[in-house]
Amino acid sequence: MAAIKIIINTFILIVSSILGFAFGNLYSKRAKSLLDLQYCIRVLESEIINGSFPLPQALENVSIKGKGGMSRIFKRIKEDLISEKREDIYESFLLQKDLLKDRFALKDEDIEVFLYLGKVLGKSSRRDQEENFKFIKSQLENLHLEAEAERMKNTKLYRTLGFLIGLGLVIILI
Amino acid sequence: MDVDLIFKIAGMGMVVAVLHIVLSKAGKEEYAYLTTLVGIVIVLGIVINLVSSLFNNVKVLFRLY
Repeated sequence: MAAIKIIINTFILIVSSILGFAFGNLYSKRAKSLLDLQYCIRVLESEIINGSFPLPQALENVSIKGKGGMSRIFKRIKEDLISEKREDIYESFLLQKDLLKDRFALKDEDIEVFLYLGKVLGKSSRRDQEENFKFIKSQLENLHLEAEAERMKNTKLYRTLGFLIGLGLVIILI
Repeated sequence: MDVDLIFKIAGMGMVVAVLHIVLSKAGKEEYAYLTTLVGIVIVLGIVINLVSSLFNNVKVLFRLY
């Protein structure tokens, strides 16, 4: 009987700790996604400003050179742009909104900056676009700093909470 | 009286105290307060039968029934 009790209590402790870790990792996912997005936008900037590639080609290059899963988003935008023969690239950007929220754990304010890129991309002179890229990069930098601070605080908090709640349950059940 | 109960309450107290500190440090004071309250309710739930039997014993002892 005592052995079964020990096994059940250990199980509760392990499960609650794992849940705590899983919740904590959600916050680190946002920070990582923002970092990847920053990298992809830097690549896109250099493809457009320095490489002078047309937009579909630049997006394709970002999907090849970009970091993490975020680079696939640019591939999807390129495919949507070509297959649907869109006149406004913003619509293709808008279609990625749910994916960014669900899979990359981005918040609304992060997605707004991404959508702003869709609004200004390929609609003005090269100099204007350079300014816009500068603005978007600074916005993303700020958001990344904020996400990093949130990650530092919440990851530790949820990990500790998971273990302590498990410990509390074990004490009650003994 | 069961001595294990005292240790159980002490353990709960320690866990709730640490939870309170962790939540307060993270800037979630309202959750820290709520956790303390939940801890008190749980401990009260554990000892309520003992308190009830104490009152019954007092009643029997002083013939107040």
